[in-house]
Amino acid sequence: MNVDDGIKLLAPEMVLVATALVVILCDAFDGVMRVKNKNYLIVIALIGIIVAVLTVALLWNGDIPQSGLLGSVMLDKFALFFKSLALGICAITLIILKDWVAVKNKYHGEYIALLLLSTVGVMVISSATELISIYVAIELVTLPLIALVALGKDTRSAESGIKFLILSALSSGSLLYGFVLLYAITGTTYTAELSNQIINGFGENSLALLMAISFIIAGFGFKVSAVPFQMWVPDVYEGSPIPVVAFLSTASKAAGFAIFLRLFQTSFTQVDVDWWMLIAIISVASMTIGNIGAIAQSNIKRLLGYSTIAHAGYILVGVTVLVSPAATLGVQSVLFYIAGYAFTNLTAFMCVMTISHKTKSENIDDFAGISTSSPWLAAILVLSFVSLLGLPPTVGLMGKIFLFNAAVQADLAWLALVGFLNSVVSAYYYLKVIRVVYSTSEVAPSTIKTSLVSMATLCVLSIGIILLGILPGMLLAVADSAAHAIIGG
Amino acid sequence: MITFEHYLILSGAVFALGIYGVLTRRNLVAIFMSIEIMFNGINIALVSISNFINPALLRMQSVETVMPDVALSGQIFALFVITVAAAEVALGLGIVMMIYRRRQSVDATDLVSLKH
Repeated sequence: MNVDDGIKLLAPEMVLVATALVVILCDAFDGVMRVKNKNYLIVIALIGIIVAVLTVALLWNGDIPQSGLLGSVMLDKFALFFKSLALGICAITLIILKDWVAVKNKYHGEYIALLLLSTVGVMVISSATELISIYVAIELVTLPLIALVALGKDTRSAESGIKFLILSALSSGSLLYGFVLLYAITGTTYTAELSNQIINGFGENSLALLMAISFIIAGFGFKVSAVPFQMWVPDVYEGSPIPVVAFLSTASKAAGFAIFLRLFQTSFTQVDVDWWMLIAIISVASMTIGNIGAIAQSNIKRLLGYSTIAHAGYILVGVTVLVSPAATLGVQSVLFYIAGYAFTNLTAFMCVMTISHKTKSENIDDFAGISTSSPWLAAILVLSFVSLLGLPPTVGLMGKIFLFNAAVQADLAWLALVGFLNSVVSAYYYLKVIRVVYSTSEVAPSTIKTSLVSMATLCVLSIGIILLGILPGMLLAVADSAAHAIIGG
Repeated sequence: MITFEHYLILSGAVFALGIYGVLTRRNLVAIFMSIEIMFNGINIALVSISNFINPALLRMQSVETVMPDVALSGQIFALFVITVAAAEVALGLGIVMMIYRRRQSVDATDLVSLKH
């Protein structure tokens, strides 16, 4: 195996890194050309993303699965699934960013470059099969995001940035200590060998192994914003710019679940430690605390923050299924749910941003009367909230059905029941927002203008939400081949 | 005689001290120092494991492996941890500077503008 092969495996990432560098350089030197409108930077970034998508498509049809860079990255359909998802999220975030910048008018180049670099982190993480690469990739996802959160430069964003940074450092410390314990027990940092070493007598049933797995769950729990590692979520969501929150709640979470699934599937499914019980408890806690916390919120970003905690709980139901014979079903439904959730959430954030730019407020009560002034925007917002809640005919419903079905197949019906009850609770606050949007207000807000690009994106996203709700087969087939890639068979 | 256990105990103790510092300190700069201490505890463990563990003894003969003959992974891991921790602290101190300019204070208990 030589290094050239490995570089080919990371081609999409390389394209994005190059794009990020080009964006930074153009941003720094376009003063020479007297360029006033910086929107061309977003066009450069989108071109880079399209090229990366093409390389992903080439790799999908090429010679996979393939391991490279001394066994530290693995290119399979599972990785490619998350890479395409990350690229899609990044593209939509850039479009959201364009509208945001048009209103706020600041910090163009850095935002785009940091978003691209964070996307690279998500892409590397999805194919990392070695502890050092996993750690570096996780930091590559988080560090640009911290900078993005703090770049607003006002008091609130600085505060949310520092809170995010300190808690993420704590969580990566915990993750690292888990990795150290694993390394001490097994003497290897390769995920595929960890399992063999543990089963063949190095530390099976030992307290050290249990501690290692607990530390790792704590580290990943922070990334996917599961309870009890969710403290940062509401504050960071409230204090940071909406495009960043949109990316944080989708791509960063997808990265957390990608590595959760791959590491636990390859290393710990054969191990005789009941870690799935731990995840089941975290899952129930996240669902319950997320949904109950959301009820009292008056700020729409905080509400979506609590809702994201609840959704992390639902997705963790699928992770607990890993140890059972229904594992393929579990992974498949997790992938489906993450993709559906990502696009639903991006739609929601896009609508929320457009509306809150007009109303100059993020308070839910100020959304009153939107339905009369901009019926389409209100309809799309309602559609995304209906999908988050999980009602037909949306992708959110299908995702929940698949997840809870996987749990039932794995004899975890009680977990599915808790999830179902929580969905009922969540109806309260999702429907509250919908009610406010369709209520009348004394001061009729003026019509909200949306740019053509963002309206087109919103239309595509909402058609996608409905289409996948009626015909989930297409995405499910892709998720299925991705799930088989890490489980085999 | 300093054995493997001593190193692991030292590493655990330093790591725990770091966490204690992060949780109890009120000055943001001191919190960052505690984070560094945490990572240094991890580094002690990594280099000592790499020094004491003999991969040839641990290696499963049946398993096809790409692992090198010496357990250098730990030392390489430590280098990466140092690098990433440096990046983290550089970012953190930048944000602390920003907070200081706005509030003339780096006390963590003053960070209360985001409350529900």
